[in-house]
Parts: sequence; structure tokens; C-alpha cells
Amino acid sequence: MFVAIRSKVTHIFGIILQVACLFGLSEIGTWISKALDVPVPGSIWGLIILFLLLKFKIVKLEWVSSGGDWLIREMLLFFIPSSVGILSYGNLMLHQGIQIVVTIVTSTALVMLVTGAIAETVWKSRQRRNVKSRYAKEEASSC
Amino acid sequence: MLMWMGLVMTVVFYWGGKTLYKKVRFVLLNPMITCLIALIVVLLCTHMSYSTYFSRSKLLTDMLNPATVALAIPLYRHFDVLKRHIAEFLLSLACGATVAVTSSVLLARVMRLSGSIALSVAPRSVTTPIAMDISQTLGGIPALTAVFVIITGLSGVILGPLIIRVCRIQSSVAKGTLFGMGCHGLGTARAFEIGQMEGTCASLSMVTAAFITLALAPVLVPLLRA
Repeated sequence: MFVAIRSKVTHIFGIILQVACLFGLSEIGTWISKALDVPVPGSIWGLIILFLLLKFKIVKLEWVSSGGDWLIREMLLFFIPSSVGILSYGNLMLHQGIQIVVTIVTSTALVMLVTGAIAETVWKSRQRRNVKSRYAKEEASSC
Repeated sequence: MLMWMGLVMTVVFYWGGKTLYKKVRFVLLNPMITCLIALIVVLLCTHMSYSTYFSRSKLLTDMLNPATVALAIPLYRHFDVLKRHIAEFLLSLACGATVAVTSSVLLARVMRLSGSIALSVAPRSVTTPIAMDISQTLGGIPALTAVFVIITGLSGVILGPLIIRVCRIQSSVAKGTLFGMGCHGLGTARAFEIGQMEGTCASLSMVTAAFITLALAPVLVPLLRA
């Protein structure tokens, strides 16, 4: 029992430490974004840096994965405080809210339909081609 | 104690909303929406101003940056799959970004939204920091864009699963890209609920879509409004 609690505490402590490291990376990213003066936010720079560190095996996946996976799993939570900001535009929303929501919902539906349909079509056509080439190979080998 | 109220309240409502959603699985009871409504009701009842609430729950907003950095992890895990599907990505995202900007501007005109609001709607389908930046470039109101980004996210989280079902979309790549392109970070979070591969495709789409829109919007929007 005591061992179980201790391993749990170590796990949570590990997550906190890893989140702190990821936070550090995003701070470095923010610094780069300020220094270079290009419209790419610091967090995206941080993402690129972490990817390269992983790719070139400077950072091991286990060093960041439990904290990183936790952050991704709970990402919706982090959007909530800014979403409550809708409150500050109560007046505008009262007068033009319906038009704004109709515009956004229709446009979002169109974007998702087009993006999903194109990706699916390309994926299917490529799969068909793969199946065909596999058949061709099998026929060639059976002859 | 009071300092932490906003933070504790948000976490408790979010956790409650999540538990409720797991039990009923009804799209409109998305934890994001139930939590948002509960918070707005509490703020209105206790007369707490938004800026007070925001500063007291700032720790949560600050977590968005490391969470974005963490997206490098699934990207690294599934990188070869993504390389294999590069055609799907680039083609669907280029079309998606064009549709996003064009339809926003045209629909805003049909709905008779005023100029600065229409300009603030245009970049709404990309992740908040980049959307606000584009809004500034176009001459919109960045703070308003932030709100539109959230409305986009909420509507996409509800619409996405419906579109996947109605269009009978089967591939993880298509499911991921439609979430990442359609509704940025919120969509990415939702796509990770479907699966690792869907979520990774969504996060990659979100980043790519942001860059495409960054280049596209300042050219396309003046043309559409001319």
C-alpha cells in the first residue's frame, strides 16, 4: 500500500516536472518569436524545438511523454477562461449575436465538409491504387 | 483563498461536466459548453467581473503554451504516417483554408455584419494567437477575433462528429484534418478523444492551416471585399 502511494506521488511529481520543462520550452519560443519579429507565436517555436530535440535523440520520449500527454488530454480545460470572455461582448452578442453565430457555424460546417471530403477522396484513391499494385505483383509472381 | 476561487471553480465545473458527458454522451452536453454556461451563470450571480475571473484563473490559460509545445510528442510518434499522407494534408488544407476565409467574408456580407466585425471573422478558423495576429493585419479587432475563434471551436466540436457520420468518413487522416482545419485547438482536443492518429493529424493540420491562412488572408480578403 505504502509503495503504491509512493509510486503514485513520484508519478505526479514527474508530470509536474515535465510540464515545467515544456513551459520552459514555450518561454524560449516566446523569446525567439520576439527576437526574430516574425508572426509565428512562441508556442509554435517551442513545438518545433521539441520536435527537433526528439528527432535528433537529444531528448528521450520518456522524459516528456507523461507530462505532455496529460497536457494534451486536458487541453479543453485551458481554453475555458478565455471562452468566458464572450461575456465582455454581451451587448454586441445581444444585437448581432444570431447573425454572427449563423455566419460562423455555416462557415465552419463548409470548411469541415470540404476538408474532410477532399482528404477522404485522396486517401481512398490512393488505397485503391495500392490494392491494384499489390494484385499486379501477386499475379506477376503467380505466373 | 479568494485568489484561487476562479481556478478551483473552473476545474470543478470542468470535471463535473466531463463526468456528466461520460454518463450521457449527448453532443450538446459537451463538457466545454456545460462548464462555460455554469461559469457564466456564477459570474453573473456573484457580480464578479470577467477581468477579475480571468486574472484569478490565469494559470489555466498559461498552460495553453506548454500544451501546444507538447503537440510535438504525437507528431514525433506518428511522423512516418504523416509523411505517407502528405498529399491528403496539403490538398485538403489548402482548399479548407480558402473556404474558411472566403465563406466567412461572404457570409458576413450576406448577414450584413459591419466592416470591422467582418474582418474579425475572417481568420477565425485558426489557433487564437495567430488568428489575432491576422485580424490585426487585416484591420479587424483582435479581442473580438478571439471570441469568434472560441465560437468556431465550439460549433466545430459539435458539428465534426455529425459530419463524420453523415459523410461516412472512414480514414483517420480525414477525420483529423477536418477537426484541425475546422476548429483549431478545440478540434484537436476533440480529435484526440477519437484516437491518437486522428489527434495527431488534427494537430498537424492546425499548425499547417495557421501558416496557410497567415499567407492567404491578407491577399484574399481585400479581393473579396472589393
